Amino acid sequence: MRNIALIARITFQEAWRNRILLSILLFAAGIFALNFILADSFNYELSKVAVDVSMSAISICTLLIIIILCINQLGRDIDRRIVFLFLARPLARHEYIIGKFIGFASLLFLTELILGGGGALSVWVISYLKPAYTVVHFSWTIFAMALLFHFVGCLLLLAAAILFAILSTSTLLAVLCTMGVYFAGHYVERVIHLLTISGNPESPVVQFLHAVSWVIPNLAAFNLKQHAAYGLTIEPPMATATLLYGGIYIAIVLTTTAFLFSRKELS
Amino acid sequence: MKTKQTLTFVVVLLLLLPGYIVAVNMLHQERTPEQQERDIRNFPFHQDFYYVAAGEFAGLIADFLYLDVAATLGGRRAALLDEDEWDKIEKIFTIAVHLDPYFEPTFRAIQAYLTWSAKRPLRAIALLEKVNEKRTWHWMPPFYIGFNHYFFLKDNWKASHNCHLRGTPGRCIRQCSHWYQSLTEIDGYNRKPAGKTHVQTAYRSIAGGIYPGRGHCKVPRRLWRESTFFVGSDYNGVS
Repeated sequence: MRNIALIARITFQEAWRNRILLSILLFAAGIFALNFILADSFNYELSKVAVDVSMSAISICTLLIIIILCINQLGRDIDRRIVFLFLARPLARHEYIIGKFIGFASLLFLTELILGGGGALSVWVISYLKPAYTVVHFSWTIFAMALLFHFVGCLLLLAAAILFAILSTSTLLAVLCTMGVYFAGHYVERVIHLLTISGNPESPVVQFLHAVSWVIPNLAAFNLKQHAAYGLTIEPPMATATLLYGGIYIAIVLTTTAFLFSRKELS
Repeated sequence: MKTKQTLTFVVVLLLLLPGYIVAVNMLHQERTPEQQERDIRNFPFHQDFYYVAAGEFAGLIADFLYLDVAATLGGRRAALLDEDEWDKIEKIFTIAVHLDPYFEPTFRAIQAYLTWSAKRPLRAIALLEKVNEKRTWHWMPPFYIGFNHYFFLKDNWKASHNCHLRGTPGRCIRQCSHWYQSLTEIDGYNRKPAGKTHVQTAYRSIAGGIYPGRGHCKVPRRLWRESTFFVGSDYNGVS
């Protein structure tokens, strides 16, 4: 446990010092400032636009952090043999993987907290300045829940990114695979739904996509932007099932990654 | 060597600069605001394609589509659009509703443009019904549907059937019913050109939801009274 905490702390500190993170945060700050101008272009439901812009900025930033920062750092650890410095210590390989995951997860959590706070502030200011143009059922609880679900969705993608970074021989390949998982994770459910309602639900394509949906993380389930924007309620069974699914998926992917990493020839 | 490099750099830059100035000027001439307003965005694929492609940014893209339509239609007279252009606008509205069926500015714009300007009440009703399925807490989408049936399609039965003003104070519902009723009863009223304009303007105010949308019944009631009894002559300030 101490080893995991140590790896997590080093990972977090290294990533935190990275200038990429600073530029991402600056980009987010710019987006939030833009929020006020953008929202003002609309006649009604300004708070909805503010939520859309903020949540989208958070999504883009966290995606960039996973793609650019996490995969790069892991790839560099292996390419430059920095990983040997860790593994030379009395440290199991699965501890390294879990430590890395927790370190990056902490970074994502902090980023989500900062960006979410900034987003909430811009939404609050807009709602305060123009209360008549706020969405009637807007709720801060649902906004916070949307952020939590988004964070869990990010963890799913992070777990997949670590798996690809460990498995692949090049960073670019890992980035491409992670991007593929990201897009597929958001699209598969919608495509299945559309094919089911418009065509034959028993067709081989739909069956194939159903099979794929067991492997690819369903990231669309963690997208509650519309709920946050309009204050739509989330049914407790649905919320529980989604979080449970997320937790178990992460556990399976991390176990697989640890197993594969323990068998990987590092030279 | 270093001086030669600097000199080459400056000469190349000076040679490129006039070309750049000419190109920028040409671009600015081509991309005037009027020119850009003339270009209505074309979405050739089925709306499902955009729904899938939008991914997690569906809400944001719906916002953008509304802004795009508003900028296009606001920058020019909507009446100047031809049928092909209205087809494109209708497609944009269809995609926007598909991406985010809840968004208020979109369905208000649908009601404002597809019915009054494009004279396509049936398409507007079809889109508003999609909104109505999702935006269950809001009285305005069913009101618009009812209004379109009544005013544009002259179908009073469907109008009354759709006029469920949910979430609105009861007196507003009564006012709207009276309004409908009074306008159908005052037979000679609509035949007068000025009177007709008044009614239409007042209707726009109500249908636009400017006043009832904020939970006030006062203004609709006044408009109803004024349009019925010909009090006042200028409604431009309220429409």
